Amino acid sequence: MPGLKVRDLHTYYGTSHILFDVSLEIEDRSTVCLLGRNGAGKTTTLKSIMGLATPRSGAILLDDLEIGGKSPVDIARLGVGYVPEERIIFPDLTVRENLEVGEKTAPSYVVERWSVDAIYGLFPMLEALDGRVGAYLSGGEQQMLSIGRTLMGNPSLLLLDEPVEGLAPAVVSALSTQINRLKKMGLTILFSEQNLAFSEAIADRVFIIESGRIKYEGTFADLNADAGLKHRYLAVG
Amino acid sequence: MEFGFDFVFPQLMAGISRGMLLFLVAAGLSLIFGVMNILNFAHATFWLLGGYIAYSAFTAFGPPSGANPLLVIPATAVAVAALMLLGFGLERVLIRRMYGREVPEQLLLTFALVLIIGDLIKLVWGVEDRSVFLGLPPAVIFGAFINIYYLVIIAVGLAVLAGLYWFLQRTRFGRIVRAAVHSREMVEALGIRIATIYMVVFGLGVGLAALAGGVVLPLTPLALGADIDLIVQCFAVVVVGGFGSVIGTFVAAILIGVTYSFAIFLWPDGALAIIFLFVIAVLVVRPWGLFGTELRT
Repeated sequence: MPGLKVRDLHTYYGTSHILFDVSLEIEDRSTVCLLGRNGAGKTTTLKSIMGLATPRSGAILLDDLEIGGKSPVDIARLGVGYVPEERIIFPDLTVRENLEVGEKTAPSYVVERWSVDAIYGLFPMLEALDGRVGAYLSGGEQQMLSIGRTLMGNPSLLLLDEPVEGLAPAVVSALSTQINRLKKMGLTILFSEQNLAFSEAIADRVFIIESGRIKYEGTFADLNADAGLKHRYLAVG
Repeated sequence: MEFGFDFVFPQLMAGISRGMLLFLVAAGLSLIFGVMNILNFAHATFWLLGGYIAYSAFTAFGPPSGANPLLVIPATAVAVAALMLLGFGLERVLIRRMYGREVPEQLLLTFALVLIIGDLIKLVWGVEDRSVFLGLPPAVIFGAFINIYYLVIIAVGLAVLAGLYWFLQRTRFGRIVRAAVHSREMVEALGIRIATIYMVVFGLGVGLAALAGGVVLPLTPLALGADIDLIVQCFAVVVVGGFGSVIGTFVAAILIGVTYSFAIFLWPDGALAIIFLFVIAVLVVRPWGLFGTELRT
């Protein structure tokens, strides 16, 4: 079965054990959310998949190909796109230049390749900022640019780390529409989030992570039916 | 001594051409630090080695005195090619091990290179100064006698400034270099092999130093230890201009070149001190340099 499979992942930062036995399964062309509080292990999970944190044991399979232990460059070139929580826009480069850096010469994993114009079609707000340097963008603009820059590499799997953290409600709702469009285009998406409403609007399935362990896997319908579960792990409801 | 136009103008031209040389060497130093975070203490030593190689190439093509002045071009080309290859090799073998290390460790390695290359020069070219003499007639500009070769150096410096600017602003490779200044990790996560970028940047920086070494050959004799004087001034240039800024490096190089050129006449023993007073004054007002950004300390 194509898609992303993460099995029994253990990741450490130095001597501190961060992820315990994390297993995730994400079907091809589906959108999955990793919910959890600050420090639960969401970022470390995404970084482990991207090769930015090195798991000590476990397996990561992308379309049945083992990518665990590969470098971030190689993982990116195999079709994984990563949008970090900090967005990391290149501040001296213009919006267009940031997008152009995201182009890569590696084979494309999508039928239709992305171009700067196609990104502007998805995020019209960015087109008006074409020549502005990254240092002078708002949080929402940075987030759109960061996603657009990663899309320029034509990934098949998109990893988004807390995409709407700290953004205004209007921007959150715009991003939810835009990410839904990506979903309809056939991208496989794994994103981490604390914002329940946003997650529910775009995800097919949800995993809950707490203290580095997966505590729940299922649909939002099932999760919503269990107020105790939401309260325990998400401090809501 | 009269401080009329006849004195000031030639001295200004000498200062500007000295500034251009500082720029050629300091630009590579600044680029390598900005992109790779490597403080290359051996950068001016590559300049000196480039000069000696250009000298050998020049004298292989013709006599050290009275040869066709255009021989400087192939001689410099040989030096640039040789030093770029050396730069690529050193990055692969030595410099690569220094990424992410502390500055004292980097200084230890690059200072070792200063000593090793210095001894190598002594072995191959001996301890006597080496120079070539072109015998060019002076140019008369606004009634003042100017060494015509100053104009050549100024033209080379301006061409390199334009070339570097174009490379960094207009090419895909240049965009990636500017992105890498900010975040190596993000560039790699976008699927770009940064190892290749680093190797090219290091080779390019060393090649620029060699270009300066070849171009200056007809102006100043090559002497052991000249690299140490130059590296200190290059650090001053890079600090004043702001690390990672090409325009800043250029402006600072011209300012320091001209300052030095007048200072050495007015107060020969204190010329370097004057430069460093200038550096201190800039740092007090703008700790990140004239063109550096406050964000990137």
